[in-house]
Amino acid sequence: MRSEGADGEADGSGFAALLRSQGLGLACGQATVLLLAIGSFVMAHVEGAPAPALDDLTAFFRAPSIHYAWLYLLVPVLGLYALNTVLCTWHHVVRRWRAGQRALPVYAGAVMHVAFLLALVAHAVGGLWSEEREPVMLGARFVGLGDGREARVVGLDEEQHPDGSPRQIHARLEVREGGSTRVEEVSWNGPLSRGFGADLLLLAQAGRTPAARLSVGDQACTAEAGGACLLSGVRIAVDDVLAEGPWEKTPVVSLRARDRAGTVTDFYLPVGGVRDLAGGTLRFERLEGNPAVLLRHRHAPGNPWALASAMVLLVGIAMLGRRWI
Amino acid sequence: MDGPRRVQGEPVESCAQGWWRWDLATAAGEGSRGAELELGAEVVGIVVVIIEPAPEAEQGEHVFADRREQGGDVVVGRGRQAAKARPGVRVVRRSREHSITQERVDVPVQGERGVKSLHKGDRGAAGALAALGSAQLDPPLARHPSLPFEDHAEADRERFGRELWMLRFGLDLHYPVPPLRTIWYPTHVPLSFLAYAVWAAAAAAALVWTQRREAAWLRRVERLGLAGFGLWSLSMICGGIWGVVAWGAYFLWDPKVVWSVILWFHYASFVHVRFTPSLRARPWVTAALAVVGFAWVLVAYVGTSFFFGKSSHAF
Repeated sequence: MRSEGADGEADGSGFAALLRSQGLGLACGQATVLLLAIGSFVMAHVEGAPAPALDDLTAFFRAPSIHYAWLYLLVPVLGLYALNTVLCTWHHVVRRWRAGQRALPVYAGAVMHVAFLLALVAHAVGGLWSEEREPVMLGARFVGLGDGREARVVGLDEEQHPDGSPRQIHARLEVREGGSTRVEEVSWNGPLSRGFGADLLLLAQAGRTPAARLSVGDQACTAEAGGACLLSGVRIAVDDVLAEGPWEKTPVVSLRARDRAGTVTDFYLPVGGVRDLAGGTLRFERLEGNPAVLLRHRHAPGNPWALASAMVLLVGIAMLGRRWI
Repeated sequence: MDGPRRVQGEPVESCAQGWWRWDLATAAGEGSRGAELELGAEVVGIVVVIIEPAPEAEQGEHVFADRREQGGDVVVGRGRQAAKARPGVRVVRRSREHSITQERVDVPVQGERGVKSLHKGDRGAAGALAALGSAQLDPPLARHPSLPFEDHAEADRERFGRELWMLRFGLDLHYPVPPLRTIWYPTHVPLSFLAYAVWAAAAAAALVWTQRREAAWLRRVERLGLAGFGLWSLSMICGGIWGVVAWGAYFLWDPKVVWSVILWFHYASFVHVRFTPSLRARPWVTAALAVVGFAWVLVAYVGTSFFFGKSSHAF
């Protein structure tokens, strides 16, 4: 079977020519269309064959099913499409270069083919190795992000629409890494990104965590659960802050006080409650809210590949110039 | 349907240090127009009204009112919770606007003046998507600019009147959810619609070609197909970036996204055909690609909204 190159010249015969032919590319493309169309119907209407979350591919193989046959067939089709793309692109570039053609539009198609291959790699890498990692709750104290960094919330601004619905949330985070500290912002559609999107910390929820306002005499401090205050020489660790206490539904704080003599006392205080300590009378003034955010941690190694694919595709389109249409 | 019922007497729950809790949703009862809660004088007269649609109202129309009562301020809002809180009061709200049938909204104690409105379960990214874990966060505290303050009653009555006018004339106002607040939204959507339009034109030109068999029409089909392919590629790039910043993934096994890929692969065939002279010598191939492609466009644009269940593109 004879195959044709882009210039219409006979491109040799044989299996190799077939593998790099436009016709094979066309066939692979239409086969992909058909299989994905089948897949979309199956995932929407067949029980026991739901669509996996996000871009996951592993779900199709963790629980193999005849209903996923469209995908099992799609893998070799796309593999063949990739092979066809590599071969025809290489053949085209070498032939043009050897013929002395140096104009950019001549190689635009090759660049766009490279973008297509990068996109296939992105889907494979992302689909097989993306994962949701442990979500991270950030408050006033530094918390590890799971990648060697630590962060805490230093500010939380909320924008609302006139009807009170959320418009945007700007969470300012102090991020500590390797001894240095910087302030970064997380918002809706504004995640904390690393590695060109390979690791993302996305804003999931924002609000306030309860914190206890404690005072001894004219000294006062605010601490969340796990925090501590030093008031009149007494270290008061806040074990827990309950917006609704175990009795009477009033805010209650669980405290551990250690005075200068080292005496440790554990006790509860309801809001407004007082307790005499060595340093004075401790009072639980009120409940306050410290800004806090919940971040989704998504590891998506396919994202940098997808970004590269997009950039290369744009370059290819630009190289075509007016030759495009 | 009953009018607002006055609920007095014993609260559902009484607590020490001045805290009480009433379950107004239960107190209101099914089909009532809401419950008016009158607290005892010792609680400084807080009144909250939950608005439910009157039966004679048309779908979506809400009855609106604003009045004061002795011993406290009555503040009403369509689907909104408005409460003037004094120490020790918790308010229960039921909101249709936010698709929650019963939700307890605590109005924290933060002093004597001002009104605080808390909104949970809104149609935002956190609610609709992976809100992982139980955050145990209090709802964001927000000073609602449109809620009435003690000394702004007249202005608020005017505002409520205006809103009532809008409601009576079928006007409704919905604000975009947070995932839509990005530059990628106004780039992705118009580019995709432009591609749809160009491909529709390509299909129309193909049909004209089938009648006239003129080479000029075939060139139009080819150029429109390729132009749409370019626009669609740009649209997918913008959409992919949006997906990454919003959800962490540029691709979803979502009907709209899958059919976007289908369209991309189908119209990539135009590129193959353009550079394959033996296929260009068969003009019906280009015309067929355009017509079939438009059928796929209809499935992607309209069909995914009706025949494929839930989609992330349904906001």
